[in-house]
Amino acid sequence: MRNYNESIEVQMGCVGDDEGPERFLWRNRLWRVLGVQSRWIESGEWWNGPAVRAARGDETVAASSDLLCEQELWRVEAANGLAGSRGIYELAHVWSDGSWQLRSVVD
Amino acid sequence: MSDPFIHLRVASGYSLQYGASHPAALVAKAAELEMDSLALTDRDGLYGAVRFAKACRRTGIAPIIGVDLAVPFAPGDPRHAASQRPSRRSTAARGGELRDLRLPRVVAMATSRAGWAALSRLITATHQRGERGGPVSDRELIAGYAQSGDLLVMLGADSNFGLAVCRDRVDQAADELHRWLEVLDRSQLIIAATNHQVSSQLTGSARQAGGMVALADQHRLTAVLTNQVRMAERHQAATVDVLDAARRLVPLDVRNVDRRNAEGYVKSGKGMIEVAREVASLAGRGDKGAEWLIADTRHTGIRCRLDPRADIGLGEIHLPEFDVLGTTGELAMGALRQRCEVGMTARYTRSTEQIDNRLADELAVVDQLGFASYFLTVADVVQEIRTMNIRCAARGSGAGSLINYLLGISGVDPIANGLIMERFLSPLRQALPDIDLDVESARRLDIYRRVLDVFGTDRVACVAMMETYRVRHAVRDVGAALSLPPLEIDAIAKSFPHIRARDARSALRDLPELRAAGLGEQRLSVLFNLVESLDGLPRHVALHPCGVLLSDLTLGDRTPMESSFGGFPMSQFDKDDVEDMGLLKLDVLGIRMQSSMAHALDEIERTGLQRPDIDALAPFDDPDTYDMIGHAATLGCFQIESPGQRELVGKFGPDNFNDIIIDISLFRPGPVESDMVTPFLNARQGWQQPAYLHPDLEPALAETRGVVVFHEQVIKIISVVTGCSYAQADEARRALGDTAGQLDVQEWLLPTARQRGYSEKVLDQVWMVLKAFASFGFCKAHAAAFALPTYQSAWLKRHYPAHFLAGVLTHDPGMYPKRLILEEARRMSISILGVDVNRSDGQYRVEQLAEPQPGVVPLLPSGLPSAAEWGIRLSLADIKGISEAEISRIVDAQPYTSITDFFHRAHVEVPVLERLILTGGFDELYGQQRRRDLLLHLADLHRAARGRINGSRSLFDAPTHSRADDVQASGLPSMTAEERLSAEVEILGMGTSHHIMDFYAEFLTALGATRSSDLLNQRSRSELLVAGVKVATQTPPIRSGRRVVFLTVDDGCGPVDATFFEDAQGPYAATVFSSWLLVVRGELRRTGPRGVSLRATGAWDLQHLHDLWQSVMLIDGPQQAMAAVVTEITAARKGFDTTHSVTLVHSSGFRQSPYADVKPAGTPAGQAPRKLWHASPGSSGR
Repeated sequence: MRNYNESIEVQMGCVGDDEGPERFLWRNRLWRVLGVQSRWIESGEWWNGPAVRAARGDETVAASSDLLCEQELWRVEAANGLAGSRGIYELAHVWSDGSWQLRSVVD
Repeated sequence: MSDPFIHLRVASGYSLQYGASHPAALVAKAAELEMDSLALTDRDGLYGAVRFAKACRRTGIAPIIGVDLAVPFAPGDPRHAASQRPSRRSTAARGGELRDLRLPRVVAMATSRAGWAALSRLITATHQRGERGGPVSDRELIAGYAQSGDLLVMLGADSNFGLAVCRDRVDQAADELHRWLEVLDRSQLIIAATNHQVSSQLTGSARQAGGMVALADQHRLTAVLTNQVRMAERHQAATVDVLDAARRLVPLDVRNVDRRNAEGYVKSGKGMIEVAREVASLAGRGDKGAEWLIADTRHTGIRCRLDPRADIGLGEIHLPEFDVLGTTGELAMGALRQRCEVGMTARYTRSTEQIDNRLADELAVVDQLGFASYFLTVADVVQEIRTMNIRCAARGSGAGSLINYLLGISGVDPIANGLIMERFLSPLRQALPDIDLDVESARRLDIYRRVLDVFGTDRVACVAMMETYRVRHAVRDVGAALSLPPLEIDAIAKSFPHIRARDARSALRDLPELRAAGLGEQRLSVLFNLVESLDGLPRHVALHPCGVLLSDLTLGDRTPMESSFGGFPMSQFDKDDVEDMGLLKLDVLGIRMQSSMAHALDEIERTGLQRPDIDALAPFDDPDTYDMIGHAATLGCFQIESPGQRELVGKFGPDNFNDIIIDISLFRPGPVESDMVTPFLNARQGWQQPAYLHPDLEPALAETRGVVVFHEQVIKIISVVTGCSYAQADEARRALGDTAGQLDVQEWLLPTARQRGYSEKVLDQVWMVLKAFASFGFCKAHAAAFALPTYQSAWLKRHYPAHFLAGVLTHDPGMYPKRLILEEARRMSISILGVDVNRSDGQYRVEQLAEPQPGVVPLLPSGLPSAAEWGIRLSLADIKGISEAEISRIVDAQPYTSITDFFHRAHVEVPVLERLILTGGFDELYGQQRRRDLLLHLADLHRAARGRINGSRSLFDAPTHSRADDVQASGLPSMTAEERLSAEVEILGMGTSHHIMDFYAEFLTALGATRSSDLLNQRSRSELLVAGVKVATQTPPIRSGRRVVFLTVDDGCGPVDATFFEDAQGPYAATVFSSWLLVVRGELRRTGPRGVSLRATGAWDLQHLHDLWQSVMLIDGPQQAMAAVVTEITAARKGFDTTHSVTLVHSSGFRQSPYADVKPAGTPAGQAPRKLWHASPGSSGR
């Protein structure tokens, strides 16, 4: 498994029978989601976040006050049309700001 | 459209340090979602069940109640083997695995009233078999109580079954199901899946839920969907993590928190059907599988719905059975009547018609309400206490009842003191009346044991008390969870007054000393957000300090019980819960003053005097005692020793028992606020004619010169103007407490009174008084009950001053530290006798030094009695670090002939023995000059003893020295007076040979500070400096609704009271709260003929000023030194705004600062650390 944590753009749509990320744009290429393997929700380790580090005095600027940092994880099978691009990708959707990241690629 | 989903697995804050929401908040959330039922399945008990049921009743939601119990790991679990090994949990366990084994859980739910009883008994049995604080149940136990079919058992994601599914061990999961089905009916076993949408290998994942449902389907078991709720709203997730960390005593880390996401909240039915779809499809259910799952959940919920009254028993009444009381239901009334008649001959020389009628009236009410056994029970308990020779007095409105007086429960004559019964027991109310008993604090637990013996453990239990998060604990737990530096956490916690956690940020806004400490910084906002989120959540179950439940044999069906820390059976319900459950609660309060008086009486007898009967002092008319009270010389006396009270009694000059009752009632926030005190005092001193609202009201108000002071007077006013009975009038009085009630009363009272011919003008005034009275005033019976020990303690102080203070020093009942009581003894010419190994024991003892003069003890000009013939011997218990075992060994082997003898026979730790030497414990044997020689000799003895142990010879063969000639003179200089004093302060926590302020005498003289004894001679409004040891700080409510800080310091001549208003608090409050030795600047104010106080304009740490003075002195000489100190004092402290804080406004219009009447910041003066002062301030440059 390779970790990336890079920003991506996602278009929601139908994946199989359910709604989910249908396509995403990563490194200027468009990837199509072929199927959803699993989906789960995770909270971040807010106690290591900037607000708490600031309270400990480790950092001077306090950032956003959202402590939950909830993310929805989608483990999907996707491909971009090139040979060998088909694989399992983990997409993370950060609920507080709506952003998406490509978290990792599972070999 | 109502939401059909029912949450069956819900933990509130009453799952200690696990759930983040109050039961009421969970119910409110369910109501908002339009759900019609909600379960509460707290961990380990029903602590929150009554509150939950009440909240449900208010919102019309049907309550479902269960308990979430830990069970051991099943054989297939990898942790099973580890948990089989003998427990290595030790008391020293600090955090982590040892604190929380994360055992599997099982939920049992009641389906009926019998189910509630089974649930209660199951919980009691579970607590009985486990370790205190870590109850573990098991399958057999649960199944045993479920036999009758009134409990359902729910296996969830965190059960052994669920865990096996999660590990992909379907075989083990099936085994677990079979084990349950062997002991339980199929219809009682419920599989509860939870889909928190976590990653698939974790518990609470969709995959696990699907697996569980599939297995349930295979075994034809009911499967339901729960959300394992720990919070009402999603945003409380961080609070849940903090609770996990606090419960396990570890910092926040992914290993230490249970949740992986924020899905465990009260989700809507729509949200639940979404996650159900995923579960049903993974379970291989076909079409409508999810709807079926939700329907089964609802069906199971409906099976478990309880009726708050019929099933839980809210609002019923359960008194002890009559056979325990030696009578029967039919005969109880007769027995009560008979015992009252016996009491009549003991209490009254002859009965009058008034007394007879009053008794008949009261008995009729008791008969009507069926409370005869209640009175008999309390009378029995009181009799038991008296047989044990323990002092006992009734407190509260019970003193208003003649029955209580005749049965010996109360010691105050209600007829002579104008007390009425209706305030205590009303035919219009079905609630059990409250009788509280004040007993000797030192023997309270003996009484509990006796009551348990007499009534039996099946009928008696103590009451629990939930300690909830307030700001200081919340700061400590959140700070530790966030890994803030421990020193910073401690400093932040201590800088707060004892307020609610939810007020943390408003306190930061309002209190300048917090901002000055930098707590308002933005970076700490995350801390204070979390602190506020913990507000009011229970953090610890403790034994209630006074409540005892007396019930019938069904007690165990009605409340779960566990063992308290001291081993007493304790109900899981707190005092409000037991009242709602109709259980008879007797409050047995340990009162230190009662212990102090008992000690004084014992000492009187021990020193060869006649033991006075202080329970036979009626009619309480000793002029000598009132003379002392009028001089405000009341330090140490019950209720009237605070600075404010001493000021009041000085002005008031009470001269009979009723005056003491009035005095106690006047010194309350309400009367002080509404300025009832001044008109009363003016009329009382004859400076003004008393004003009455109407001549009809004169009889009710004459005793307080037209001022309304008592609840009883309000009752009488209402009764007079409307013509209603006292009982009805009391109902109206209660209704006046809130704004809605006031309107109701107004609509009834004014027209009724108008019809009876009262003019509008009179009615306007009457109504104003009644309305203003709403939030304060005092029950006269309560004040009368208090007045009794007040008088008794004052009487003892007046006639047996040394014995009384020995009692006060031994049991420490008051607001002042022992230091101040010792000063008081010195002012009364009582000799303070140092610790002596041959004379001291574990208590303060009185010794007679000369033959007392016959007759009444004379008063000194200060109003204090003089007792120069007596001395008080200090107690061994004050020696730092001494253990009770050491004290009893020392006492058992007394007397000693020498230190060698003591060393060999008393077996006291060497450091403790050193301290005994340093405080003069051997002065009587060797003389004060030889303490240093003794220390050397002790070192020799210690060395020799160790040598002997190594040489395996017994310590006990040592020769005993018959004379004190064992110690060689070493030629060391003896200790100076200063060295002796600093040793005393350090070891005993107080100076016995001198006052601590003697160290600073030279500096204070140079500074021109005024001694407290000279204050009376100063001009009013003159600005002066005083100095002293902090004795007390208080923030009482005052009229303007602002916060005022009262500070009392003692300079060795007596206490000085200083008042800091808001303008002086900004720059100086932090100093006042954090320093122990203070210099205070202020303007003198005369408060009465013998009273003065300071309006403070500044405060400085005495130690700091003294250090400054000394350091400049060494370099630049005395003049420069004093100049430096003066500069320090006159430098204005800038940068403090005096923004005015929020005020609370009561329904009567009475305004109060939210910080009034809470324990202020800092450590209370009574718990001053011993080493507050430099061990020696050194030479002051002589």
